[in-house]
Amino acid sequence: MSDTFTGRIDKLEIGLTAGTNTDITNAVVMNWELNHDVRPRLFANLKYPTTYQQPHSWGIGSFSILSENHAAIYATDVQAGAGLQYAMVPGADSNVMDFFQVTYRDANNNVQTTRFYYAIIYRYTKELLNYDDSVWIYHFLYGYSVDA
Amino acid sequence: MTTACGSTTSSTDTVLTLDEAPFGEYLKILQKEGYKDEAGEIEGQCLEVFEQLGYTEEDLHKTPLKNVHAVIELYTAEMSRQIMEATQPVSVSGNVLLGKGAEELDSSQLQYLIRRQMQLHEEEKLNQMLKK
Repeated sequence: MSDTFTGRIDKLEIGLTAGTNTDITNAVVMNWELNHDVRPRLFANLKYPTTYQQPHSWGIGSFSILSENHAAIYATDVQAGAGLQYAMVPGADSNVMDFFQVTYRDANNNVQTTRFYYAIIYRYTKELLNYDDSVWIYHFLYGYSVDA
Repeated sequence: MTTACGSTTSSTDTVLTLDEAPFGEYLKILQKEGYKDEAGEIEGQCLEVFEQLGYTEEDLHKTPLKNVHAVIELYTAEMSRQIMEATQPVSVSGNVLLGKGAEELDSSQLQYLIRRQMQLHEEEKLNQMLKK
């Protein structure tokens, strides 16, 4: 199981590079975890495994933001060298984000970042909380993440 | 006097029991009997519930007393249920962080959202695992 950080999110950054991005500051909840696809390698005619293959690791996560502040996901160029490519395009494919990073404080108030490589938003759902408040939950996949 | 359903009643039949009296009438009866709801506590508490449900002070005054009781009982039960639900522990997996947006939501909304988001996350994880 991966570490659990209990701090607060300062911002989510989405864009092309560390220098070219849009900050999203009113994230509500974010989570992510790495999963491993593990397959047993069996001896011939035996049911128990001799070893395991781990052909694939992948991450999955979600983040939610207050609905009035979700324009960044539709209006920020996230893929360099391909013209304007947004993380999400209404009625079209999502794009892999070149730069997607969360900045947060750990339990000792130290600033930490986690950058997600090959992240793509693939599903979003709207949660109505009452007449005034609604929150969008975005689900994303990523290849791997690097903490700093 | 002819009622809506066609039967004839005498004027004495229109006298309502206290329970059937509109809330506004009930307040007048209290005042006549010397009870002064000066702080407006009874009215204020009932009105608070009615307004939460989208009704006005005028609606409250027209509603029979027994219905006011029923509305308040239902409302209290619903509030208790929501509080019970909101105070149950939330299970989470992986890294979980709260952001500044969380401060905009009250605690029951936030608890609901965390539970919902984690539930969706688990569903999505399973979906992705089964895709291979």
